[in-house]
Amino acid sequence: MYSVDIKDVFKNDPKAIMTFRESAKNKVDSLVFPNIGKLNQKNFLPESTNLNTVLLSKVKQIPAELAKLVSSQDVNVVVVQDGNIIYDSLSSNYNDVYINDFHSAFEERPELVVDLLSRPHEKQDNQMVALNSAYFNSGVVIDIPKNLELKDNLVLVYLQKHGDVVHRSLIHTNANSSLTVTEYFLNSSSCYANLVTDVIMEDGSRVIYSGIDQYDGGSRIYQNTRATMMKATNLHLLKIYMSEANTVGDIDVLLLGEGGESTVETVAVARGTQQIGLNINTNNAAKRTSAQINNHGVVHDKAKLLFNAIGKVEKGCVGSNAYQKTRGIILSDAAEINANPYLIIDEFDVEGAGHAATIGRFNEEDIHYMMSRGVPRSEAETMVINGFIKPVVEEIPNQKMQDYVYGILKEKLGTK
Amino acid sequence: MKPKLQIKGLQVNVEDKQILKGVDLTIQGGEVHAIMGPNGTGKSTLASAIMGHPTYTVTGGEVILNGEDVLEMEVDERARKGLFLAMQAPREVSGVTNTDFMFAALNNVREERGQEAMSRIVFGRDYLKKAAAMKIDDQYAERYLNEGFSGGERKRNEILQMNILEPKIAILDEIDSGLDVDALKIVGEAVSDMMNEQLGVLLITHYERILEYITPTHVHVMINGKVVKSGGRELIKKIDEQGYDWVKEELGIEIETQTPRSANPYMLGGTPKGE
Repeated sequence: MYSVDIKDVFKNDPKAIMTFRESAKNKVDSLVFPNIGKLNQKNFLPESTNLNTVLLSKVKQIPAELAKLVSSQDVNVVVVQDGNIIYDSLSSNYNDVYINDFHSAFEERPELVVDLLSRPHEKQDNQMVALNSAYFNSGVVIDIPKNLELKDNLVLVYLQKHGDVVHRSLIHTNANSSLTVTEYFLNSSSCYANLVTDVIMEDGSRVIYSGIDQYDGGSRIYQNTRATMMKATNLHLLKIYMSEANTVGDIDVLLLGEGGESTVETVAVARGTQQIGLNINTNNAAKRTSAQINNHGVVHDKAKLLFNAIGKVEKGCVGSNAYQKTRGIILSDAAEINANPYLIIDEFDVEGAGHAATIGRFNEEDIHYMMSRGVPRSEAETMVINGFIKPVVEEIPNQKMQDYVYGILKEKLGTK
Repeated sequence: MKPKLQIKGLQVNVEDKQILKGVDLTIQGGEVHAIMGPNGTGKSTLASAIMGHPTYTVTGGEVILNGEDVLEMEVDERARKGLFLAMQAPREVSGVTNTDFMFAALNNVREERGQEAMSRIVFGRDYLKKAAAMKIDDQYAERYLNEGFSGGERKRNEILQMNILEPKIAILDEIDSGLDVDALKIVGEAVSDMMNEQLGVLLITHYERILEYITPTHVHVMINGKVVKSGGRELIKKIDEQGYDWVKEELGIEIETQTPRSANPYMLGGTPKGE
């Protein structure tokens, strides 16, 4: 897809990284595109690509276009522009945490980057992830030391300004550490974005992750948020698909260690002719693991939204559970939501598994109840739509960002 | 002028089945009308039809509120004109807080009455005062509408809404079901305290307990979709002691079977009836 030569564009990379890139590139053709059902692949791919690397120095002030999101007064903020950390403001709690962009990490901690890149299981790979591995021109490593418990939310804002972006985040929580982190992806010129985040959790670590994207309608996006969870880990993963761009989004949670617990919450809002195809996967690959998926979708105009929710429990993973719920509100006759639940349970002795999906227009009983107190239908509907996304938005562990995201979603829904 | 709700010859169908077969009632400000009767004889249908629930089709008769044709109004307009229905199974609406909802409802009602919008601060004070009277904890203000409320808390929350919206005619549909003794007292006394010449109440129940707190001025017995007997408080005692068999014998009627399940609006949304 990308017309550039890896050896040329990324000629300054360490040898081990170059080897990783080339090996990934060789796998691209043998891997498949994510399942997007009846949606047309063409709508999610760029007509042409423009990939290069950019080197930027640090700035003292947060770029003006991010003012609504973060300000210079905020702490624990990292701004990444075109693959470079251009601004950071971290509290002393983060003194022992390694956070850097790939440019610096390749020099300072190349072995850490190579190790983390190799951690996700190959069954979590697909064609788009392989492309990401071969062509990333942006990257961040976060390494939380053993036993360090970080309660203040870390905010990473990724601003794309020049050309296409192929971004990789490597978030690593060492044993018994904890992290609360938000990644916010946005752009200022239309592009093709391939954004992969890997969360690698060692025994007993805990992560609250929220990911939000806000790309314009001229862009195309592939995203994948993956987690590799070892023993007794706990992950709360929130993903808000807020872009105007056609998006293929994967979430892939692999519970590799006994006693791991994960909850995945998604919100996707599509309007106009936008299309979003999502694969939300959880894979219980160890005993007594727990996987929950809660999807929320709203569509209007002629938009199309697909949820494939896949819960897989491997043989031998006794005492595990896999639950999923998908709810959707369709606001116009021409809009569409498809929800496909898949539960693949290869172990007899599971604690529980189940799926539920409610897709449709408004729940008329709810609307009737609200109208019966004097609230006009349109106002009741607005309250219901806003209320549908609000509980999920409220999980963003940052009040200012919550308000901002809620505002944008309401604008997108026409309920402001 | 006292508010007045007139129900004249009201006939209501659910799908093809006729449930109400000509109901006549007039309720005025200051009056409490208790409608009693065995399960499934159309009492809740009467309540839901007056409020305009889409499951119920009015096939004949009239409902007039202060001279205006209620059946011509949308559901929300009925509420703004002063009708209130405390429901058997109040809906849970996720993401909409109790106070956001009541604030929106109140200001819509106030607009209809020609009153200026209430500020959020004034509303907040009023809410807290009235919630405290219903023994509803302050933290419920920011909870989502009825979400995670117990059966009794929902009923109290309904009466709280009634107190905030100050309707002209309030219909209380089995507000006593599922309440323990303490909650029954709170709900009963709250309604009793609200009574004045500008409020008329239609109370649907099949237990006499609630009537110890809310004293009815009129008592009606409904059987087979009709009001078959009207009178005063003496009827309550007789029903309490003898059930409805005497009515049957006196009037020479057989009580028909229960309302079909499909006639229960609350089954549609998946919330089972709290009986």
